Amino acid sequence: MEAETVQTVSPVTIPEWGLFVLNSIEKLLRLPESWDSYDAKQISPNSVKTLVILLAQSIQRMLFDVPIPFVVPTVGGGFQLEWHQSGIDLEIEIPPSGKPVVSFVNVETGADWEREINLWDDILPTIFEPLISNSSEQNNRS
Amino acid sequence: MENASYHDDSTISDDNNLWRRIHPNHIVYDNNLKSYRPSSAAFDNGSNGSPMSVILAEENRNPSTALENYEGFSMVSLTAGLVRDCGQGIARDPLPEEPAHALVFGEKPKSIRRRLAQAAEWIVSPH
Repeated sequence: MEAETVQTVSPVTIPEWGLFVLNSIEKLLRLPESWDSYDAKQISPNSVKTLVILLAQSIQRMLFDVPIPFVVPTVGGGFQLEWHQSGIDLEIEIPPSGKPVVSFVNVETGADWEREINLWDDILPTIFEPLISNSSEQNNRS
Repeated sequence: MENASYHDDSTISDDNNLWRRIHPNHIVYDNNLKSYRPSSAAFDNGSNGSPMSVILAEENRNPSTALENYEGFSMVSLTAGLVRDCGQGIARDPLPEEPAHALVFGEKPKSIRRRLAQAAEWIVSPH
């Protein structure tokens, strides 16, 4: 009798912050045109695609302890993830087309920069690790 | 939209306050400042490139009157001087429904939007 071949697939853990972002996007996708009382566009499916890549890259790099961000729609049909805590201001703007733009300020180190990023470069740990580290320190102190 | 030519109106003094409506989706909690504030996303030009809309504050005008028909919105104030310091110009653009309407024109890269967001003061706070 031949042995059966069983394929197993490792389960993927979606971090809490990732689930929160996905749930937030689901709500934001229902916003109508001009939702901001001016001329904001609806969220573009392209920006959701970029977000999925960002989450996949984060999971691959085991960035599970990123604090939960605010998820804010932009007028052009994209959205941005924002963290303002532990002396850090981090915003990742995901546009409807083109590359994400990151702005990062760390009051403690004096870092203050802003640039487009390529998600396929190994940039996410650089962006998230200070936030994870500072948040963890603050939690330990309190 | 056509590219219109805007000119900064010097009759709007630097001390003049400019009001900007804020949608509930544009409010974030800043744990560094220990307060709610508008996101930088609330201070961009329009989706078609049109300048950012504001209302010129008038003496004795209740800011809440600018939020009639905008349920759930709150409002912040910025000074004209700060806005100009961010490389922006201000042009009057009266509308039938809002005679005090004005436009803040100029490029708004992320750094400028962040600066406006952090400087904005609530005049009609979020609920």
